[in-house]
Amino acid sequence: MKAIFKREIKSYFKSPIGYIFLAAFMFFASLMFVFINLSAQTASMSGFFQNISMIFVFVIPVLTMRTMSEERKSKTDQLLLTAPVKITDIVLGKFFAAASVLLIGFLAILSYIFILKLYGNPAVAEIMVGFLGLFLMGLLYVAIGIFMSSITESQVIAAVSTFGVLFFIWFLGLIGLSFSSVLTGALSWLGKALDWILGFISVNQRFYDFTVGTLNFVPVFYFVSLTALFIFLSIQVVEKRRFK
Amino acid sequence: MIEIRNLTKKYGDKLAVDNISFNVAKGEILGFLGPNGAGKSTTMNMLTGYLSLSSGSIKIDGFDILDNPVEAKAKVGYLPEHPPLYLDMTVKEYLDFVYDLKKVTENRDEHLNKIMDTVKISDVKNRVISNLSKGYKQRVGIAQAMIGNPEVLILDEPTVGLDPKQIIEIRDVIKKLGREHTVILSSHILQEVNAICERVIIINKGKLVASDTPENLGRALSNENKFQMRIAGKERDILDALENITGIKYVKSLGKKEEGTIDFIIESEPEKDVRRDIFFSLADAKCPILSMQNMALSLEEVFLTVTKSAESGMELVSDINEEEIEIVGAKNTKDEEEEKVDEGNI
Repeated sequence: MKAIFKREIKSYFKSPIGYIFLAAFMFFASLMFVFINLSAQTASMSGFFQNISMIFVFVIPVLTMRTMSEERKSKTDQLLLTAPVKITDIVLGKFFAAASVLLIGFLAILSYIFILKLYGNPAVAEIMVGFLGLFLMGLLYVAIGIFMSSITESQVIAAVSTFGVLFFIWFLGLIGLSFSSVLTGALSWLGKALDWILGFISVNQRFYDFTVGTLNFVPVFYFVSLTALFIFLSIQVVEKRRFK
Repeated sequence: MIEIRNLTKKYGDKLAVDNISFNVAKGEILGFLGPNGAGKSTTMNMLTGYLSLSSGSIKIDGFDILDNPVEAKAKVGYLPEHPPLYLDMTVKEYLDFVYDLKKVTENRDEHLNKIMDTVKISDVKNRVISNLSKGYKQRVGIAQAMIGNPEVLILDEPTVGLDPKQIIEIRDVIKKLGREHTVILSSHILQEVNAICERVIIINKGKLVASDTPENLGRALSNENKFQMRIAGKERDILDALENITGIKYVKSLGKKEEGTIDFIIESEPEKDVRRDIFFSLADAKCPILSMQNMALSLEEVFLTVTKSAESGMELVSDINEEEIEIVGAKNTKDEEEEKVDEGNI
């Protein structure tokens, strides 16, 4: 796992991908910080957190698109799968490498706290909870991206389909709202039920708790278990391909 | 060292490998022959654990590839059909990565330098792999397989893409490796297998059709009593001169390829060497021999022969289509249409 992790990290910064990801992430995050916090002169970052989840939908696919697909395309998967390592180690190595690049971006935007401290009185503990939630959500998106990358040989397809899935997940909350407004009268129970179901699987709903600074066990468990599920699925995709 | 029992691989309904069993002894160099699509690469991919098996079993030094994959894979170095190279790395970085990946315990610099010297890539070790020529890439692929001194080396067409000088070098490397390692190499070049391997396995359409030493296969298959000659003189005179020799089974004229000469294919009775008689007889007829070459069979013909003899006892190649015959060292530059082909049986 260590060897794969090391190679992946190096490869992120040998190709432009690592830089593009970090540049895009920091640029849009800072833009939001400027508009939502600095221009509005507020020390509460909950608005920032609620909006930044959208940025992840665009930048995470860039980070994960080549993780598995490129190995298959360049046939280097033959090296990895015939080496004395487990498939779990291969996928985890790649996951942790992508997570580390994400972490670099995170350490950079943590500096916002210091900027807020210069001009006001931010609730640091609550903001840290928000950052934790944001990071957990990023890890889940990375796991989804790796899974989408594992089912195709093409980076482009991997990127676009990851974007599609993330956008859909992000959108679920909004779709739920419209159900109860469309289904009225006798069908209002159905609208409410759909709202509840979609709300339950909506990432944004789980994420909301973090953004307002409350740390609950359920949303943490939600993100961690879903991340684990997608890593597990990626491993299964690689494993099953050997039997095709 | 390697035990393969009833190995079968199905892709959907298609049988890619059909019930193959064989053993490879420690230190043996085994040649794996077959035309494209015969199942060579599939078999090798299963041996190395890249593909799973549909049924059967593979044991490498006692470790089952399905039950103990990590232990079994640690004993195998594999060069797949396309060398699995990360094109954005330098040669040294790549080999370092493979060294880490395989969790090798030997001294890193010593081990890698020795391998790079063996396959002669030390001079390109700081170059990015994507900029290397195909021959160099192939050699980096071979180096990768050698890292960690695996007891078994599995090489899928190791000399593809190399120039003739490199081919000879790589064959020497493989021969040398064969002294300490068990080597399985696939090829569709019969000469290559002849030059390196102690035993040959031929598969066709997923089935094992022959398994023997190259000498035995060669004796049965390469036709030592058949050769091509270029003789100066008139066709009639030459045929007259050849008619007097006992032991010639048939003579076939291929027509004029060079001004004032005729090319012939001559086959003698088995176990009978008529070359001296032909020389003296033609000398008497004042028809000088300009060239005389034994005919080698291409792998396709070996296949035809092997599969045919499997069906109808031992019947050897006397009626092969002329177009399929490959003449070692001879170049056929003329169009087939221009040749007037007379067949004169004596």
